[in-house]
Amino acid sequence: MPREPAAPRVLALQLPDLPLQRVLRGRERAASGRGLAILEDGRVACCDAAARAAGVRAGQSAAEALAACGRLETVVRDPAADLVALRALAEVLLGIAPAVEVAAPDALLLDAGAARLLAAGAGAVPPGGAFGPGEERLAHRAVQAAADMGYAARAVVATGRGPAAALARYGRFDGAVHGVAPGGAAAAAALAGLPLAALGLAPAVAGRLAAVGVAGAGALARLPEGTLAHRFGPEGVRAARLARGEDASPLVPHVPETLPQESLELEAPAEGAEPLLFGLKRLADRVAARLAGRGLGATRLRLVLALDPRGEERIQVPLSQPSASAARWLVPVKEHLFTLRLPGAVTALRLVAAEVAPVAAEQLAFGDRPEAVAALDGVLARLAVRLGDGALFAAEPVARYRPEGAYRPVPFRRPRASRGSGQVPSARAGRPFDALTMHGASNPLGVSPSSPERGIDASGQGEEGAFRPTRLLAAPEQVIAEGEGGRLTALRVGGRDRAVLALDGPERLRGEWWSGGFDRDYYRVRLEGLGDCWVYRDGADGRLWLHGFFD
Amino acid sequence: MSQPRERHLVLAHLRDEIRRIERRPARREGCVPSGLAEVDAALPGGGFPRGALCELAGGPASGKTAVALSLLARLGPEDLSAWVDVRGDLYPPAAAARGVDLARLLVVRPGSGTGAGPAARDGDDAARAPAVTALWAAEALLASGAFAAVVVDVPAARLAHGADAMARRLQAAAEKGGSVGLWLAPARAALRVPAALRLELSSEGGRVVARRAVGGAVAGRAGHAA
Repeated sequence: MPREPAAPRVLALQLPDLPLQRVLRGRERAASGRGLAILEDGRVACCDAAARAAGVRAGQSAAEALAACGRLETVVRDPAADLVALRALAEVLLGIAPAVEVAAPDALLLDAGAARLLAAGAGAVPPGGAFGPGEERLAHRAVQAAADMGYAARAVVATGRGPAAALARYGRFDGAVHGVAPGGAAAAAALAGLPLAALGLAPAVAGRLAAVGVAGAGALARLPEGTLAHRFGPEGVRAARLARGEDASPLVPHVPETLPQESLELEAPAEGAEPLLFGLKRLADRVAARLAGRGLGATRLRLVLALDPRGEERIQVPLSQPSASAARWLVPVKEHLFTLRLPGAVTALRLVAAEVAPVAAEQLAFGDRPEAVAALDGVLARLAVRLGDGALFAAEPVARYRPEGAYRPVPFRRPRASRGSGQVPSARAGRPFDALTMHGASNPLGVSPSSPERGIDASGQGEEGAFRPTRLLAAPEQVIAEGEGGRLTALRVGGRDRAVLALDGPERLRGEWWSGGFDRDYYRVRLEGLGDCWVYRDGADGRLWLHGFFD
Repeated sequence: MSQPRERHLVLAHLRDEIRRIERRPARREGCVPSGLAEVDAALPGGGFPRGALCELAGGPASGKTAVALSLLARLGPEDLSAWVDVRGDLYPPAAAARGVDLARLLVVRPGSGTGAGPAARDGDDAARAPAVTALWAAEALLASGAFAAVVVDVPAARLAHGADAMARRLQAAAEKGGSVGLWLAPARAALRVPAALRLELSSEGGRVVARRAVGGAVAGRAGHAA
């Protein structure tokens, strides 16, 4: 017989009045004394303190609420937006728990099994009752993480996901965190005082139970299972098992799919960049927390400024390396923001992590200088703002025969430290031209190479650097050969004859028939007054081109 | 009356103190040799000084690029470098063949940016003149302290109005950031930068010859407060 899986230890984090909290959080400042109520099906679902003081109560119809408070602002509940908000918070909590379940409409369930182990290790589990220090710390961290994201929350640690969620939603306890000792019995005892609604029963079933005198979870737990199954069906049995603290169902982990974004409506339209910074910092903190929870860092941010009365301005902010640190983001974002000339006042901000990459935990070693990292981010951002994105790059070698195609620009990122490994970076070790082959060819210029000592390398280095010129002209310049008796004596470059002092070659490069093809014989020609030049003869028409300098 | 020697020490100490308070990158001292015997021999300290701008002057194939690349290849394994390449003709594969780690070399080509930033959009002067933008970029790179070496290759012929003033600020920027600044200039340059050191190069028989090193009183510099 397979063993029944043990019920998991679960931390339930509940956000009271989530629809209200979500609306208030998206504004720069809480509504100023007007009173705000969230309506669902024409009735008040929840309201803020100002509305409550004016006599608005949950359950009232909209008309009753407006009668109680004439200046009441009403917002219709948006369950989809509430779910998005819950999922966003789940991303943050992924940073402190191995699995997080989104328990709509207003709670998150965290796997607290590991925290329990921590508590056991500390050997300080108080007998009968509260949770251990590991769990308590986890609960406080979860509540703090929610607070950082702009939500007030309360947390309960209990055994089983059903009991934990029910206790978080309906339990009465002081403070933001509460613990129930492990085991079903302790959970049942804690649940005993809760109403039937806490067990997730349909109102009709709860009504029938109430009619036979079963008023709470404790009473339901005491009823024999057979009777319940007969009269209330599987729903009744499930509720009774829950009331007895028997819930071994595993968590359904939330796997984030979308890239995080956060938005904020400004209290008043902002004319300049300065007033945006406060809100921007808050958004950056929230997006960064969500990325950090997933072990990701942003490599590109997008800031969208909604303008008054319509339209928007989008700013792309590339980052020098994947980062989930809001402080690091703000340097380049500010740089972009302050060079911006806005056509109108800004009414709302939205910050999106447009591109992300996994970010490995970075260990700062002795000698690392965070200020140098900040300096790099700052200067890259300034340059990107002024010169445009494509003007800054690092070159990456590409194995191609066509010289101008032998590298491609890639975004410049701060390379990871290679400290201690003793490894040589690949670009230093490798010779990118090992793949190139040199084909012997008959000498098309009709001259015998003057056999200059091989490696007349201008750098004074060995042959390695001599293969390719240090300067490659973006547009090759046509040159005219001038000879005497079959010997090349001079090249006309830019309308001026230059005597040929030495000649080396040819090196035949050809290929890429699929994209037009090319066929070139390259010579290294030393010209009077210019130095060593890279000249090729085009196989298609025999013309000569100056392609680069061995500067 | 204060002794010049003491005043120099006090100023150096105060500069370090300001640097520490401003949390700026640590000052780099000393020289970086280029690894080319002829060139290093012509340099006062046996290499290119950090925190100063040096001018490498020479024709199109005089070997100044090779000297600069050789220097970049001699930087520390964690050091970054930058190349302000206005003409867009630096050939990175040749740099890699000379031992430069391309992942640590930032190439800046003003004018090749796609989707130029918002500042460039509303038609300020800098956006129209790539050379002036390049000088501005060079100053920012030198002053940032994030790059151990910055090579500035801005063709003098393209320099627009106001370039003189910007070029004069490069030396101060190099001093502030502690980078090795290399200014590549044609043999007869229209624009002179106030470099701490000027080296005239020519390629004779395929070898780089350093003709003349002017300046070099880098160690004794006391002005140009960062």
